[in-house]
Amino acid sequence: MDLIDRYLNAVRFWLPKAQRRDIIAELAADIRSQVEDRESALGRPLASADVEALLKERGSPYSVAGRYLPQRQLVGPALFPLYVFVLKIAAAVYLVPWLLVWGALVAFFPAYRAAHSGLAVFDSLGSLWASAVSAFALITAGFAVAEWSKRRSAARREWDPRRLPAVRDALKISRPGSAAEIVVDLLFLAWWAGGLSFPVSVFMKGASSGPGPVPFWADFRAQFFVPVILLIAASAALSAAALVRPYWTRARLAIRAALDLGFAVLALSFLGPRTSEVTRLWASIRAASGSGSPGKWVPWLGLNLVFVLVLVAVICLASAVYNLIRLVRYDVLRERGASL
Amino acid sequence: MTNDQFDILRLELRRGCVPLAVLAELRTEQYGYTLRKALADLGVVVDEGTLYPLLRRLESQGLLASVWREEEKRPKRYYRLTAEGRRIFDRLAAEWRSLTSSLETIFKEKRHGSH
Repeated sequence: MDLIDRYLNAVRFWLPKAQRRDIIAELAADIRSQVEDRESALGRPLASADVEALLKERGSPYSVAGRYLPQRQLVGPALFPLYVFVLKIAAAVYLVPWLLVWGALVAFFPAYRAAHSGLAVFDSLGSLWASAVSAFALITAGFAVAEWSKRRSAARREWDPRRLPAVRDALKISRPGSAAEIVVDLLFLAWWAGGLSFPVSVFMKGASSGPGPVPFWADFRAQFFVPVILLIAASAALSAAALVRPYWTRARLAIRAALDLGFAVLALSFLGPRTSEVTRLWASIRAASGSGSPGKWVPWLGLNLVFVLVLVAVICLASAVYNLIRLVRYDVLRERGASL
Repeated sequence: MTNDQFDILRLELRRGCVPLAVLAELRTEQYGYTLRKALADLGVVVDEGTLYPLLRRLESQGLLASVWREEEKRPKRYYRLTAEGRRIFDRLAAEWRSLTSSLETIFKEKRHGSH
């Protein structure tokens, strides 16, 4: 009987205090009735191994106690798909680009590796890990609160089928989107050609009007003035064509992928040969840390330009791959769109 | 279909019937262990991990009433159907008969349709 008492004691541990006595008394009566039944069937008292087998049949104390507890879940089945969707979005818009940029810096920029020698190269991953855990915790906490309030409010059953999102044809191009692209492209062209003034250009004017010229900036603009104009103009022309006939064709997908690749190659081919300059920027930032002089911002702005160019390259490469995949799956996508 | 898949579907099918079987059996007063044995003898096997929490739930819903009583020098908790439990049982039993009759009709239709 010692085994049964130990079993009951273990079950008791997991039960809610208010019901412990009651549940254990009933469970004890059930087990002892079962023991008596077995004993009368066998015609002998149960051996320790028999009691062991009987208790094993009933399941572990934790699982037995668990069945008496109310069903509780942090995120219930109704909200779970949305929860997973939000986690995926958080990963796609933050974690994946972050990792790609970090990977590109480590793989293609010896300057970055020089500035983060040895295991220091993984320091940045530490901050990514902290951000990822915080994001996961925040999203989970948000959904736990939503789950709690959903249970409390029966009114949540109300929903309007008319507000369901429309089914999208993957090859259809949004006209407002094309119009927005044209506007952005034209604004960028005007700025690139020197007609508009942006905050960055303040720093380009020299020490008299700001902390000094941003490293690389004038260089970058001079070297790629014409290619950037051609690429942006081609992009704007493609968007203009989409305004007239808003549908992806094979040729358009191929052109879009080529333009994306062009932007990526341009950004990387500029940065590639300048790794020693990037190293100097890292060094000057370290040297200037703690000084309050406006000059210390100059290397930061230079490095930000490096980061922006790497980010542009990563985004353009991802977009090129996405468009190439759509090009390969064109027939499937067209068939799916036709059935809508 | 594998045996595992069959077992899962069979379990789901039987799970919904357990409360009805319990209410039916408790038209006469019984304690947990004899109730479990009676159900098993009639072909409705319910493990104690399912039965006792279910008895508590039905009691908290006012469908069952329980009382502790000493028997063979051991305290045992006896359950029986309340008046409300009886009303609910009658309605559920009617629902069950209607459902099985509908299913029988569907089974027959499909049998004839396949000839």
